[in-house]
Amino acid sequence: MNRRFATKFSFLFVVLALWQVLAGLQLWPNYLFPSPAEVLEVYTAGIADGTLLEATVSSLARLGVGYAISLLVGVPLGLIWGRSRLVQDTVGVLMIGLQALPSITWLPIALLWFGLSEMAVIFVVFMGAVWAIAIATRDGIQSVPANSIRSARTLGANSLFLTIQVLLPASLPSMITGMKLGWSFAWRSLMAGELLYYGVGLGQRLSQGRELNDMSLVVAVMIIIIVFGLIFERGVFQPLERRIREQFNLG
Amino acid sequence: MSIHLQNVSKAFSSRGASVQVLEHIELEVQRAEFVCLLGPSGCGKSTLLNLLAGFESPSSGTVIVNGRSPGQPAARAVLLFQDATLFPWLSVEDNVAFGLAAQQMPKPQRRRVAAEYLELVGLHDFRRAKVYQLSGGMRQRVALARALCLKPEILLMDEPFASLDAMTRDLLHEELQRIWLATKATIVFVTHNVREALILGDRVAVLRPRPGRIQRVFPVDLPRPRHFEDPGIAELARGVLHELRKAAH
Ligand SMILES: Nc1ncnc2c1ncn2[C@@H]1O[C@H](COP(=O)(O)OP(=O)(O)O)[C@@H](O)[C@H]1O
Ligand SMILES: [Mg+2]
Repeated sequence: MNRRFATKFSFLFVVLALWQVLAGLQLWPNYLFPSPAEVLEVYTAGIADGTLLEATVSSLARLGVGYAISLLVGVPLGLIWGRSRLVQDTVGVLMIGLQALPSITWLPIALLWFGLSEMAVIFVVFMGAVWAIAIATRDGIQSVPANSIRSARTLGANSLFLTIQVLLPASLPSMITGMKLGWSFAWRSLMAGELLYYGVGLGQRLSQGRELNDMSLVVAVMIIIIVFGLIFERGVFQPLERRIREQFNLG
Repeated sequence: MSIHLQNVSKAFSSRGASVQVLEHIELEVQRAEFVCLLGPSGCGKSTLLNLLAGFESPSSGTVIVNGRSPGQPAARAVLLFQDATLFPWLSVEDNVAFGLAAQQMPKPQRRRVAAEYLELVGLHDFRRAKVYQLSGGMRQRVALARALCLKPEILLMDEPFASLDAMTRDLLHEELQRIWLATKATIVFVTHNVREALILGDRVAVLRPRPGRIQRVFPVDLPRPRHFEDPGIAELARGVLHELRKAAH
């Protein structure tokens, strides 16, 4: 464990050192290839005047709200989708179609519906994540063995009890895959939405960086996104997956 | 009377064609009787149990379980499967208490009842274990405890011991006889194993395939508990086997 940590740390160090050396060679002008020091400067300045902090917080808030709504809608939707023939043959087909639509194409509609508000971007995030979650939940529900369902029924479970105690727990491994996929779709949708729509956020920082020819700002924002990606992967999804694996003894 | 099947037929339609799986099934099972359904695989044994459990309905004829149409809670029949169908995310005791939880029995009480039935099947020490830690035989015992703690009047068992090794099966035959004598449940037990049927059943109904019909019913008047090596079993087995061979043609 300690050795692995050392490996990771050394790797990060080597990457940073390489970056610094490359920047030091001055092969490209600074505004095209900033040095680590310049990026660090963006952070200190951005934290000092609060702009970068504010952007990060508002982006994460939109992401969090949009993603939470996707979960609240996607899981029940997938549940009904997996259980009901009627839904599979009607709305199901429609949902498969919608899922193929890049979520940013919802932005014009969202702007018309919600105006230039937070809700517009949140809606795009929601549209980005909800189908992956619903489809994975549906797949999970449909792969529950018929005998498990009959077993629960014969032991006297009603539909609600069956759903909560059997269908949902049995679908968890599939659902977690959908949640991860939904999370990455949510990020993409958020960035696309924020790049196009002006409001405080990381996406807006990115387009500002481009407009001001400030590459160090662009790189700084990209690193923030990478870091949060890692934090959620390592801090939320991996432990969740591990727990589910242990529960099911999938190895 | 516990179970009454009157001129029951069942056909499935698959890809446009209708397949007659059961035909003119007549069967009466008395309260606290142990009846085995014996037949080659594919002859409709599981379909028959599914009719009794209310998971399928007959194409014609009537099925009466505990004086009612099957599948209602009041019919008080529990179906057990060949794969124990335990829930791997629950501990052993929570698996056993599943049906009690469905009845909204409070947790301390259902833990107590579960412990009692785990004791009955000899797995009290494993109540905190996870399903994957159990052998196949232990899983079937847990499934049995899970059904028994609901105090069902009827147990429907679909080849529950078919995938177990011979030694474990012998042991479970003894246990099931003991438990049946203690609980006096009505049991309909499906198997394709002649000796198993004769060890367990008060009567053995031999089914013949395509379409599934009851070929002949053998009464088994041997003292209990019966064992695999009892001479009476071997003797009866010859006759039943002969009938089974006849049925296959
Ligand atoms: N839902 C179904 N649809 C179509 N055919 C079925 C269905 N269930 C069972 N069958 C057919 O009915 C026959 C009897 O099946 P089953 O009752 O499982 O037999 P057994 O339990 O005696 O092995 C088999 O040929 C099987 O293919
Ligand atoms: Mg079968």
